[in-house]
Amino acid sequence: MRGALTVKDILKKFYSGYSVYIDIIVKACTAFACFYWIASVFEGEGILANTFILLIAALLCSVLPFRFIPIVSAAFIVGHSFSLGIDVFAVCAIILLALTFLFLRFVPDDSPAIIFMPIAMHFGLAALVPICYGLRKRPSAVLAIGSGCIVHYLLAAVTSNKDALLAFEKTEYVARLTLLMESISAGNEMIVSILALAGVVVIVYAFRRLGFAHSYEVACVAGGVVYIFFIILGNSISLTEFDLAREGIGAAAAIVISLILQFFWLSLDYKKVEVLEFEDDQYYYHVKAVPKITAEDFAGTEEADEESVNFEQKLEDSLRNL
Amino acid sequence: MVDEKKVRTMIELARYEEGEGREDLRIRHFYRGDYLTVQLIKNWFLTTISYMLLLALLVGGNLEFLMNNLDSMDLPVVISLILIGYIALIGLYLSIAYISSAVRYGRARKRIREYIVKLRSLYRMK
Repeated sequence: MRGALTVKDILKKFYSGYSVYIDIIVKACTAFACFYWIASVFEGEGILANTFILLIAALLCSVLPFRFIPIVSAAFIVGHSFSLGIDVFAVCAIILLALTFLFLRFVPDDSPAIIFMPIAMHFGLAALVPICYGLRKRPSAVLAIGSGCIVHYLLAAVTSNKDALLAFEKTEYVARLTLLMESISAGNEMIVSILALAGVVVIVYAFRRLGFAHSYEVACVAGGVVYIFFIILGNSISLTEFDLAREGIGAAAAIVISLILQFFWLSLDYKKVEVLEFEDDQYYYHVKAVPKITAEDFAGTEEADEESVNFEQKLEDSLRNL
Repeated sequence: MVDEKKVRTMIELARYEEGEGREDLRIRHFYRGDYLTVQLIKNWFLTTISYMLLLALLVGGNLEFLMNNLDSMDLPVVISLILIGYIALIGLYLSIAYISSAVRYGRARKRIREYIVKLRSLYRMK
């Protein structure tokens, strides 16, 4: 525990010293990872999959606000889909535009979820993003999380039907569009996923707001459990075909990762909670103050223990001398 | 000698002006009614575009079915359904837009008031 807190303190100090450069590097790395992932999902070979182009786009995003990363990512998705045909391009562009106009404009600060969510779902960590958003944001983040989930199923529909789409003539628009739309709307997986992810955000937010001891940690675990519950419910009621083992392992990993992230965001010492009560002319205040844990707390305790041992030793020695 | 309190206030003000204050200061120029009207018109426009795009996608995806069954379809019913869907969506979105814009305007005014109080206190500092 002390080692982890020391690492956290070192990271904090390092960040506060070089925050300008670290922000730029983190933004560039995140943007590059997103663009590279999109290129790898589409198995693109054109100019949009060129590492040099991806690096330039990532460097451009590093000096722009964070919300530009999902915008540029959406442009990459539309660009890659154009290589599969103008109809695929139109479907991707229309769905992304509709998501932006209908949902994302209400929650512009949460818009990175539109690209983080498909990446997390691709790696089986679907619960991770909603748990993190529930811990740090408001329930309105559900709009961005749900949009991200739709983008995941859009990409899955396009990439899984890539060979079938290429087998058609490029002018067989009706057949290609029918295939794509049927693939997007097939099954109830998308609806069940959106409901599960929305449930996770709301439950995590509700738990962390309750303010009991270790509420943040309990919220992380509750988020993972709720996700699995919805997935099992979906499989049994609406006949979806989620891989329960994959989703279960993913949810467990999401809980562990979110707990680690939560430790770095905020670690509280619930043993030293102070409840203060006071009043002014208009209000009566009932304040619960929870101190943060720092490495210095542990160092202070050990030093105090050493001092008390030394004091006792000196006292014994002086008593013997008497 | 540097006045630490003054510097702290100036940093707070500068952070606000660079962050959410930018939008708040823009909103400040509108009366409440004007701001809400502009937001509702913007939302109506964007929601209409989205509905038309999604409808076009739906028609495109089911074009074969539509072409085969166009003769047997009750067109007035289909058009009524499309219109009802549009009115329901617009009603829902304009309600959400009205509430969220009113809340945003109220919060912005509150933050602006706090900003002006801080500006005055900075002006009075010697």
